[in-house]
Amino acid sequence: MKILIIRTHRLGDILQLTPLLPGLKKKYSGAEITWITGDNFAGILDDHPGIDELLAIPEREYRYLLADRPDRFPCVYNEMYDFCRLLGRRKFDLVINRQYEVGSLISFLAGARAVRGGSYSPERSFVMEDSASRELYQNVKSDRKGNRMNLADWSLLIAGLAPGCAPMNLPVTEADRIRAEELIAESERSAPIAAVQMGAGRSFRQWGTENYRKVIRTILERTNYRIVLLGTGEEKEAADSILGDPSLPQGRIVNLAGRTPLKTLRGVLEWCRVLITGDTGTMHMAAAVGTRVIAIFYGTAYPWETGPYGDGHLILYSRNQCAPCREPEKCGSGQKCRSAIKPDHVWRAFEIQEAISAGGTARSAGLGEDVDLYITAVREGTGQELIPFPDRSARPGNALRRPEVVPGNTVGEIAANLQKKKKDMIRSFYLAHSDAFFSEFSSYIDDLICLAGCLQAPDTAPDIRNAFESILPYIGSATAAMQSRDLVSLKDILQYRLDPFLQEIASPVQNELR
Amino acid sequence: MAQLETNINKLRRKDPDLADRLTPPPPEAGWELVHSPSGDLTAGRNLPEGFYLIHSSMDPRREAAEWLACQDIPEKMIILLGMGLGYPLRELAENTDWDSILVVEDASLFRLALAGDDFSDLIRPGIEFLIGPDPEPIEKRISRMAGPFSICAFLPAFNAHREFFRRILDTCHMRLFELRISAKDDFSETVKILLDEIRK
Repeated sequence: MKILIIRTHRLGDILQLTPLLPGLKKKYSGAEITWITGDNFAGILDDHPGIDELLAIPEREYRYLLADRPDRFPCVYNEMYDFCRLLGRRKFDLVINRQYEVGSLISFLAGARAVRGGSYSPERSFVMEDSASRELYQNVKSDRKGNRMNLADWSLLIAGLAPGCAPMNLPVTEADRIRAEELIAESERSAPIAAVQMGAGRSFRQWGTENYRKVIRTILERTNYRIVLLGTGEEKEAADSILGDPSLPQGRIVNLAGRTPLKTLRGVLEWCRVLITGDTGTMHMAAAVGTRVIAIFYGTAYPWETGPYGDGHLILYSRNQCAPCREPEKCGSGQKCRSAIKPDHVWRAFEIQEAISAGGTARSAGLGEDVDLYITAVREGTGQELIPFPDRSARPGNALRRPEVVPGNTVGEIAANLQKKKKDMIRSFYLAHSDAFFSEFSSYIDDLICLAGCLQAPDTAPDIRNAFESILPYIGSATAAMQSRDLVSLKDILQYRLDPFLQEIASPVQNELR
Repeated sequence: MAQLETNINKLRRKDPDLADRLTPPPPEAGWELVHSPSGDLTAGRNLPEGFYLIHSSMDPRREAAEWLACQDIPEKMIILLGMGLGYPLRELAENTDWDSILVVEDASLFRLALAGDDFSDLIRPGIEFLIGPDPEPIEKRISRMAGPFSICAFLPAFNAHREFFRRILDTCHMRLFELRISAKDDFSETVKILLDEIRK
């Protein structure tokens, strides 16, 4: 069974599809899953064990070229033409399209036998063949408030699977963990960590720096937690203002805004005990790596649709007649729903989350009239429920089942990943994708540095350490070749000098995988 | 130099103008031949940033075989952008089902290739050499392509004369686009709709 999943953009939407991977593999024994995504999200999926083949399209670049560079149209046209023709050769049995019109058109061009989630034909234009897709479409269009199902469950249903049949999931590699540790170790190591993601894509989704500042102050004053501030480079300024606030306890805040590529972010989130956030891609990533979430929802964000998926997350939701709204920019009430959620509410949720994870109970949310607190619970067959808190069913048994982090063969795993990256780079070289080749090389060098760090450990076998020392000059040559844009020498070094060493130390991991 | 003369003499029977152009060494050469451990030749030149290689310094033939394995060649008319010392061309000629191959290369590198290896099996009907540095006649030739074609690029040779090859590549894309659009079939029309959706 060859299955194609199409979802190219928005981190959260991509992660909400990850339950499909174990779900489909379980339903169709031996299923081969290909996923099409945008190249800026490839890094988050390229080592997912549930994906057999990841195809990335430069969607953002295409959007720019198609809008602003009409002279590039023939080139983009030919590239998409060739891409879709290659898809056709793969002869997919089933396409699960979660990218609406774009996915429908790609599904048609791929000539798939069956398409779920929206398809296209020149005779009928855009159609939804399966009832789940039609129902979701109607729901979103006309009765969003009546929807009680998370988009992760909708996607499972569209794929012909039972809602709640599989968890959201994202692997965290040893290299991610090492990079996360390097970043987080900037402050005291022993205390638990609460991550705070202040931003969201659009301003009306932002709860506000001052509110977050108050929450952080309370956590720091009343607990031994450390705080890690997360966000994009654009959100760094707001995070800096918190880090530099002299009224906050110093040395217990780390500002990682703009410093966490997607892979590192998953390592950081796994490290944290809880994430406080609005409806963001980071929220979904935390849920996917098994970290508890306290999510702040109001306005357009509708927690039944896009709340953190999994057991034991807490959601604060500001109740409002007009929510979920479609046009927050035109709000006549001054976004009352946003100001209804106070820092004290978040602190109360934090206390409740602490009590639940310690195996205790919290009897009353005590949030007042306008704000509700929900705890999430996923049940196979019906999917995710939001249970009002307090409720008899919101008991400690619903606490998040965090996957156990089993210490693995760190050196072997990084070496195996490096070998995979080398294969990708050499393929980029032969396909004449020089930009991809160089950017993959940067990531390769990052991992190699990580590996070098691991090999400093006193328990490293002397022969491996000696072998690594013998390849050090080649790492220098590779960097020099990169500077002179000498791709051939760079490829030779990877293939003939570094790879044999990596092969030697990755073999145990590869044998285990077999 | 004997190899170069032999190859140019053979080429003269097929394309006398090109043979004449290659007889005096083209300016701005600077390439030197280097033996790899596999016994095959590679070529490189010194640039201000460092030494720049065209083929693997370890095993150019293996590299060419790996290169071919990655190519998508749906059409039997092939345009090869950059052949270096000829390894990619030889792989294409020997291991694909082709009707015609148009080889685009810079004059200095092409001359070096003719000096380094016997091209008698590659100077033959069906294989056409379109040699720079002037891109205009090459563009005119590509614009006359009568049917869809496959485009293959050998990156190190392409990057060695990037501006020249980018221009030729754009011409290839324009011609291929014209040919595909003129087919007016469901596939080509749907790709157009797809791009409209991506643009939104």
